[in-house]
Amino acid sequence: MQEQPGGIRERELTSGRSPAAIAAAALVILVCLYALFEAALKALGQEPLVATPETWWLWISTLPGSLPPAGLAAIGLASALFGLLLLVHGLRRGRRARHALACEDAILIVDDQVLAASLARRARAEAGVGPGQVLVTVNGERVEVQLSPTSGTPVNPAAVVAGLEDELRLNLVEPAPRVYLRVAERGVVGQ
Amino acid sequence: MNRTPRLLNRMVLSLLGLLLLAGGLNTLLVAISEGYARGWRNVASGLGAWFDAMLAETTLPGQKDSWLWIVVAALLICAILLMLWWIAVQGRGRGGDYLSTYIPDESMPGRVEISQSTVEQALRHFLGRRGDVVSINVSVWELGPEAGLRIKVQPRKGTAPGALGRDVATAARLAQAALGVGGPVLIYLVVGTRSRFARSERVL
Repeated sequence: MQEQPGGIRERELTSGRSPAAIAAAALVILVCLYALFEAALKALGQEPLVATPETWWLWISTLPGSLPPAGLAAIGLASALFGLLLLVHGLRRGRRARHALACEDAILIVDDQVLAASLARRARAEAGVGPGQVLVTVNGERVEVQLSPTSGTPVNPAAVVAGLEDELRLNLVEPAPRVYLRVAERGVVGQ
Repeated sequence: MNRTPRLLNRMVLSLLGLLLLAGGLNTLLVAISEGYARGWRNVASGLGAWFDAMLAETTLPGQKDSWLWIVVAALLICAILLMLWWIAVQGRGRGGDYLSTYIPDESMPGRVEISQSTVEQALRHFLGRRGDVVSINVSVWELGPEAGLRIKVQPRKGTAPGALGRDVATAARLAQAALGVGGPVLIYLVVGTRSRFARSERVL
């Protein structure tokens, strides 16, 4: 079981789809158990629980049968949507809210919230505002910063963005996200 | 660092999704289109006739039902067992001891085992007292050929993650050198309840 550092990093950055796999397996087990139960009842010559396999097939092969079309359409739509959900789960990369930082000795993974907190600290220092006046959200390759300046003290947005980009560079976030800064038009009472 | 079979997960999920999607679309079309419903009944009666013929062919003389039902039941049991295995292999790979080697020394042969808590103590020693770390947790994961270390660190709010992570990496390498082992190291900086509620600065 040799695994390359790149593989370990990818495992940490993306979801393994375990919950979906467990849910799908449980569903398949339930369906199989029911089918097995009916087959056993038939083999023993007992009365079926819901319907024998033949009756099931009769219902399926003579659809829509006596069912109301609206109900049947709803069932079909629901199962198609559920199938689409599973398919999307299986095919998408499933990024987690984490980032990889460059590091020589080890694989370094950071929760996006940790990165956002460090960027918020830097933004506060650059803009000279107190805690609670900066809100940073890291979302994939986007860093969104909302800054409410203290009334009467102008903020230089270019300096704040440069500081944040410097912080991202210092931490060696790879690939480096882009910084989007929004300075609120109204100031607040500073601390 | 776990050994969840990711490719298998994705393949089986996609397959089940495709099957459900096809079945659901078929039901939907049957419900809303009269022509499609007629076509479906034709196809289904053809399939049913083919299956009935096969059942008749596989019924042994003197018996009521076909032996094909036994095969179907066996396949269902296999499917259930496979699904149970699939659930059981999720998230596997956590190791117990970090190291366990037999040393065939002439005068005193024996086995050396290093537990995960030893690694944690060594790591704490090499990292020293730090004000920007709330908690450290080390776990060992089975990776071939050497075990992997997963170091979960809760930093204080606002700590620069790059510098802290690289310090932890250096300490981890020093600890590994002291214990005489190699293997991959993963450092994961997280937010937890403790780091969420702890003060963002601390006087040492």
